[in-house]
Amino acid sequence: MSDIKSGTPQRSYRPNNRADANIFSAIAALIGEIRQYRSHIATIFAADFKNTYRGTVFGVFWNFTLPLIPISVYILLVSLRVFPRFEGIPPAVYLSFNVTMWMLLTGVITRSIQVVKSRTQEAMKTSIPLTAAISSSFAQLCFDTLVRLVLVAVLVAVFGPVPKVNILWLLLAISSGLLFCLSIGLTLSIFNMIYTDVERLTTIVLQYGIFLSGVIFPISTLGPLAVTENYNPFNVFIKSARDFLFFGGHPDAAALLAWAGVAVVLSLLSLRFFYVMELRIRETV
Amino acid sequence: MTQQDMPDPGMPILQVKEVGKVYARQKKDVRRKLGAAAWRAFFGIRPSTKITIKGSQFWAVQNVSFDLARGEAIGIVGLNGSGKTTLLRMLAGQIPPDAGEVVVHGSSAAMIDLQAGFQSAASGHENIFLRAAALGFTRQETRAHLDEIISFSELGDAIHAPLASYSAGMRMRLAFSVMAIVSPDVLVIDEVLAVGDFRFRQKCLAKVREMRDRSAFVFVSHSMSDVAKFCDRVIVMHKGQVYFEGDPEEAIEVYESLDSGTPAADANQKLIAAMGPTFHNEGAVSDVQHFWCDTSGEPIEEVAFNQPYAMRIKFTSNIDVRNLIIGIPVWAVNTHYTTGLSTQINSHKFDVRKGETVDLLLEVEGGYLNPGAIKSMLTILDGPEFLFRQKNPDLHVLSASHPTWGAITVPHTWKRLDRSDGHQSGPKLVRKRG
Repeated sequence: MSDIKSGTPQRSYRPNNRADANIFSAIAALIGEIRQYRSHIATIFAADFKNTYRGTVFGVFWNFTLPLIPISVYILLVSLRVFPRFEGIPPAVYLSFNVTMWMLLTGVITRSIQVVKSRTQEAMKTSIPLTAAISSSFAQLCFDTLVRLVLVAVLVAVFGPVPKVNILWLLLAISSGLLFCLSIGLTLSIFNMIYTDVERLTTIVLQYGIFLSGVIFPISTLGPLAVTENYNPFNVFIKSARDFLFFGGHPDAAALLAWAGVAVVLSLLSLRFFYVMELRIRETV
Repeated sequence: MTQQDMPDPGMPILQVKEVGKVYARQKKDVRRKLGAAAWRAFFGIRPSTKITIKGSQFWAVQNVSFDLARGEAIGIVGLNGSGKTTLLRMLAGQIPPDAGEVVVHGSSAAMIDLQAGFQSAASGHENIFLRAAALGFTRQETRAHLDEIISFSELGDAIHAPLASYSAGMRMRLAFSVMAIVSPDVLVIDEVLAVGDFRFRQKCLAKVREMRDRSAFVFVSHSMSDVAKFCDRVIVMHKGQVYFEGDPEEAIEVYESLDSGTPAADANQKLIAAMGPTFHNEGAVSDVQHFWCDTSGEPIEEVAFNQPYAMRIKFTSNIDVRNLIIGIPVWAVNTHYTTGLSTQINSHKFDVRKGETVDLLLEVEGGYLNPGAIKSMLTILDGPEFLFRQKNPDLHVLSASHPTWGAITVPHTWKRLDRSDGHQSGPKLVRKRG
């Protein structure tokens, strides 16, 4: 299709142009792309929101319903078996919050892979960077998360407990979790274009992972797997966020800080990696 | 970019320097090439600049260089798979080159696949915002151009219908209309002006022509008339390389004679393809004889431009034919289907009984078909049903005493109307005889 590029008076396309970029210039370029295409990102999100279910009886109502389906299934299953309180939180609240966090974090991984796989050809034809498509997909993910959080809020209002929010630590837990997953997602999305098994392997890992990451049951109840509590980053990010939201503190902040450090390092490497490889993977389509 | 910022008219605003691109035919070779690049990138190792062709890899584009100044238009033509679109994608920055460099001074836009990025479920109206946003326009800027875009597209009320209900032509109209608001320094156009109906296509061409003075164009098309009309010079691509570069007319001749290595063989292949299949229902007609001859019936292989000539056709019908039609389609210069000589021209109706031998003489006036080899077929039909369709021997029309243009000469005279005496003067190029 078409693209207009302006701004810089001179541009040069050379082999491995982007390979010269250092980590910071790569990140600056990616942020610049998102800024340049912010209008497109908003338009894509709005169009997707309006049109995905166009022609169905319930229309945009599905946008609000479908994000709640998986979470409600888990809540129903747990409620029927009348679980005890997990770590001081009613099971419905425990589960709804954990699943919301899990779907947010893993959504960042899976959506990156899916968007890069499905939009690379279009990105090549339109010259719209993949970061724009990924961003609009994340906007949808954020919307889904907000819908789920409304359900969490309702459940908290019904079952308690009253949250004692430690906002700074909560933000650290969530943002480092997102950064970690973004790094994994961007890296895997590139490798998936070259080695197409990556997406399937990721799906398998995440389908098992939900049961081994303290989402449905606390890891401490999983017998020998309890030792993995601090080594599973998903458990660390979700548990920390939960504790800082409901109790205002967390018994083992060191694990969170360690994984936050890993997330920062990984994100620096993966953002540059994605920037360097974004144009190269167009050869696969 | 303001007028003051514009570089000198003669200064190139697009520089292409020995650009090349390697592709692989097999997936495993693509994986190997990209896998190596990915691991190097992941560990921050500088990629190797040396290119080694391995396995099914090949140069899709190699060593292409040219400069383009503002106001210039360069055409790129070539057979399918010659590397035109790959080159265009590199010029547009859509894929990185594996060798060489492309330098663009100013803004650029590419019209390579106009429909990419559209959403089928969304209305035409919503898609305008979608595409305009992709071109870097904000909602307010798009709103400012909205009437202009809708008016240019001529879609009327259909603009509010979902894109899925649009015909291909309507989609292209919409896409081009959004594109028409862009005013880049370099515009790369790939075959997209074959848009919608003839009238809209002319409108698109006019719009592009409007942009001529302030932009430089790279233009790919299979329409040689568009290339000839629009471009200052033309590159003929063949097997990824520049096969010819120069004047549009010469380039088009080279393009038309291009083949997989043997221009003459290619031209012959093209002619065979143009003439279509041969056929003979031997149960229906037999003992078919057909040859060019002079008016006395003597076989000939060549004829002077102005001399009349004829074709003798003789065959035996093995069936009752209620509506015999004899046709002679003629292909002249460059395999263009030039004309047809048919018994239907005078509403002649022939009925032929089974076992009857038909003997026909077709007489043709000279001075119509221009010099060159006349390729033709003899077709014998019973109503819509083909009974016979075979190639005639070639007839060579010899050079005329005056210049000729194209494949045929239409009888015509010139009169000067500015003279009160009404005398004819000036050239009387060809007069129809008798």
